[in-house]
Amino acid sequence: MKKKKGKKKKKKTLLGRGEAIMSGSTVIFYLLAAITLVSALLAVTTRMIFRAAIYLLFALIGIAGIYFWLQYEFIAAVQIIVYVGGIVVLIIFSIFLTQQAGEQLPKQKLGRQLFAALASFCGLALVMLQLAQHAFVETGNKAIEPTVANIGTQMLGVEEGGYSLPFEVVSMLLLAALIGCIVIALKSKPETE
Amino acid sequence: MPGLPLSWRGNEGEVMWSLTNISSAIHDWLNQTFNPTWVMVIEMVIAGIAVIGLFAVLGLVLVLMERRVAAWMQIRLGPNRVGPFGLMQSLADTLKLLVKEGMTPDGADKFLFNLAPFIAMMVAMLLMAPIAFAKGFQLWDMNIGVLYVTAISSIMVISILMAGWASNNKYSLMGAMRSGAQIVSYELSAGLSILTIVVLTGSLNITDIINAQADGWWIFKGHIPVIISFVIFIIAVTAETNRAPFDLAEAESELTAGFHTEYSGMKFALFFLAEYINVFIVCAIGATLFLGGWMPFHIGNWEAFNHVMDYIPSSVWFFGKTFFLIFVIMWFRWTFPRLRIDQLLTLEWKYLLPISMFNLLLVTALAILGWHF
Amino acid sequence: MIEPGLYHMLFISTTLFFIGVYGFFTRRNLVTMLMSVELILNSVNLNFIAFNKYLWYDNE
Repeated sequence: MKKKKGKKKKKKTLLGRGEAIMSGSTVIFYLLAAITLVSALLAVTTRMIFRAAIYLLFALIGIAGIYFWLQYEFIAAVQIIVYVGGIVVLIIFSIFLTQQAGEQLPKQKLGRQLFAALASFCGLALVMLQLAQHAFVETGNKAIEPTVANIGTQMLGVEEGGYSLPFEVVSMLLLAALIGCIVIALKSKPETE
Repeated sequence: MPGLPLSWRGNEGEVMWSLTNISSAIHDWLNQTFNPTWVMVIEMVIAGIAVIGLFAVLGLVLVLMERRVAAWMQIRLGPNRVGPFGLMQSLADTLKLLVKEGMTPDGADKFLFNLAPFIAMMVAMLLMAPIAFAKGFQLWDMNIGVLYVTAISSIMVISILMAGWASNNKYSLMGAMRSGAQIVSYELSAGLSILTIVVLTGSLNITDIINAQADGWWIFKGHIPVIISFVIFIIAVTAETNRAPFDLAEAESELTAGFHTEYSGMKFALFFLAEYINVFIVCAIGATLFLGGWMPFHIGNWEAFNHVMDYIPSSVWFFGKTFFLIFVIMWFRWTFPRLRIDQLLTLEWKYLLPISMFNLLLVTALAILGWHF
Repeated sequence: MIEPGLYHMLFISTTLFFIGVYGFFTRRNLVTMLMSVELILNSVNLNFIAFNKYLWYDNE
């Protein structure tokens, strides 16, 4: 009896068919979603490359905000460290070092833009249709909460459900990338007479 | 959503007086009077006003303190005309900055140019959230407190890069790039020295870290490795906040004023304020991790001594330690000459980073073997 | 306004994915293409997190 009740309650939230109440947390969610989507759209449409990077930053922070909203604080902090502290800074530095300052990107052909818009809209419509028709089945087991301790023990766990092997493989990938960087940086400059 | 979750549940009958009771009384009263959404809004407004008020006071105090410390180091008087003992000097400065014209250069990207100081301010405000100012006085006691500070402070570099690029000035751009390289590199050793304390405590939560120091601060309990990591932490945060001797981003003899060359009036003041607030925040974090935050000076199980120490209020301990560290950082500024960019990067990558990595291993061994007190 | 659930998260991540795809098609610059790819990767991450959060029910 009790089980049924819990399931029913959960399903309501799963399908997003709760009562139409305007609680503060709901408003915050919609705000975060709007920030994310609008700045993502601006990031791919603006013709000023540095602004594109800044809009991308806002989109990534918006996603981190959604993780905070879901109360997955560790994931949110990692999102900010990796994407904002790492990738956006990398992108900005590559803009500084390779692109012309303050110049606008060349305008794309209208046909190309139309084609891209059409293609991505069709894809979006297709996936949305699938989503609307598909009923997601809840698994019975409670998923592991992504807290720091859980993620740590899972990463280095060797028993069933542990991710020790993938973790080591990924660290090998990182090592390879590091060595690649060093090799590129070591490349001696061509001698000029 | 987090409203004002209340931290440390103090035991009944303790000497040390906690603010938890007051804030939970306010929270309960609000919950009885309004519905939860409005309670959240009201609590956020209260927190916002508190943070802005603290900002204003800290800005005034720290600017005056910097000038007085500088004067003291150079055996002169410093500001002493406005108000009693020159105490109103920074207020007068603020007034001056407020009425100045805020100019935007012609070729600048206006949107980003105006956005950058606000991002710097917002980052500084966000960083206030997990800091425990006194016993039971903390905005958001999240379970990843220290990691949150590391994460949010990495957004700071974006505002500097944005300001430097949007100014459309070569000095600004060079200052911003130097600052970017500097902050990104020094974040590593700051992070590693924070990790040593996390390893010793076994938690990222600020409250847990403070409570673990109830029988002595980590700098005393952790032997030499923790002292090493404390020294590295102080060096790294001095570099991260762009202060002398690491102020290459605004080296006035080479780059006019670095990334904020083109800023004037209130926008400049926001950058200036954000810099001082960041100094305060990193010192507060340093005080929390290594010197016990609001925890009074306790020695092992000397009951009587600890009891006497408990009579000093917790906020006095916290602000005392924090301002001591701020004084140390100001002391650096007037003692060491500015580094060159290559010396700066050599110091980080060839000395601090290997030392702090090795130190982290040492601390891990210390924690596993239980050799700390 | 409806209380957000799994489908809201999936909507955001799908839209983000196709915004990224649009950017990838229209941009001719390597750096901006990298940005679009970042958006796509982030939408995938958001999907994982959403499924972790919502796709189970209490057994008790």
